[in-house]
Amino acid sequence: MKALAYNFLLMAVLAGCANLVCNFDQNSYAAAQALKVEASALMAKAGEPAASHQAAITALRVKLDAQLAYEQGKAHNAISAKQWEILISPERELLGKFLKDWQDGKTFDAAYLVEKAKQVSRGYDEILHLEGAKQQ
Amino acid sequence: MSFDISGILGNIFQGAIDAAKEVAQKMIKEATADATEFVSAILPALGRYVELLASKQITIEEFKSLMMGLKDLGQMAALSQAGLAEIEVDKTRNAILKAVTGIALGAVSKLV
Repeated sequence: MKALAYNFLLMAVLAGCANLVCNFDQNSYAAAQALKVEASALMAKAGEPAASHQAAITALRVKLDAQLAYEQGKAHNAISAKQWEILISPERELLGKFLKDWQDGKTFDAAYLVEKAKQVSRGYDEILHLEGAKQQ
Repeated sequence: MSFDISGILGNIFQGAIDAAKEVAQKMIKEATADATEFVSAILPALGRYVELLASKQITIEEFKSLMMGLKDLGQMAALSQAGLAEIEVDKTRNAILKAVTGIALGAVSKLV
């Protein structure tokens, strides 16, 4: 009987350790897809001055910040949240920095815009890849 | 009424070892494939950046930004790998927990 009690204790410990990564979240997946499309469409216009697209840039920035807060607020979701942080931080060199540079008045060569858009798209793909692999 | 507790525990531990080995092999295979895929994706990009800089289609500042962007993407890919590994570990843990629960409940039902 003692051994059986130890078994149940072991089960309780294992149950307590379960789910290091949270389950699949349809909201997160759909948001990543939608924001990928929105970012791509906006970056395609970055040959023009930011002033012409100020409202769209601000709107996207708000949505990105909200998504990061959503991901950070979920339990057992540190890895996905970190990916979002890298993608949208103005301190990194992906979407967040690009939007900041554009708003700060920087102009970009056409070839650079194409390559940076590919990088941002790839960043979203990493987020989608991990979210899609989570358990249903 | 008695039951073979050491036999039950042996089955549980052997099952856990087999599951852990299977997961480790799967993770190594997937990590290797993903790393290969990432490198094969960034190498052409690196080549393009150098060509664009050489032909003055991008500035040195833009070149640096693209290189730093690759570094950030590398970190995101590494995070994906860490997340996928944790998902596999969770799946294994849940499978073992299910097996242990089944065996323990079976043993209890024999006792009562």
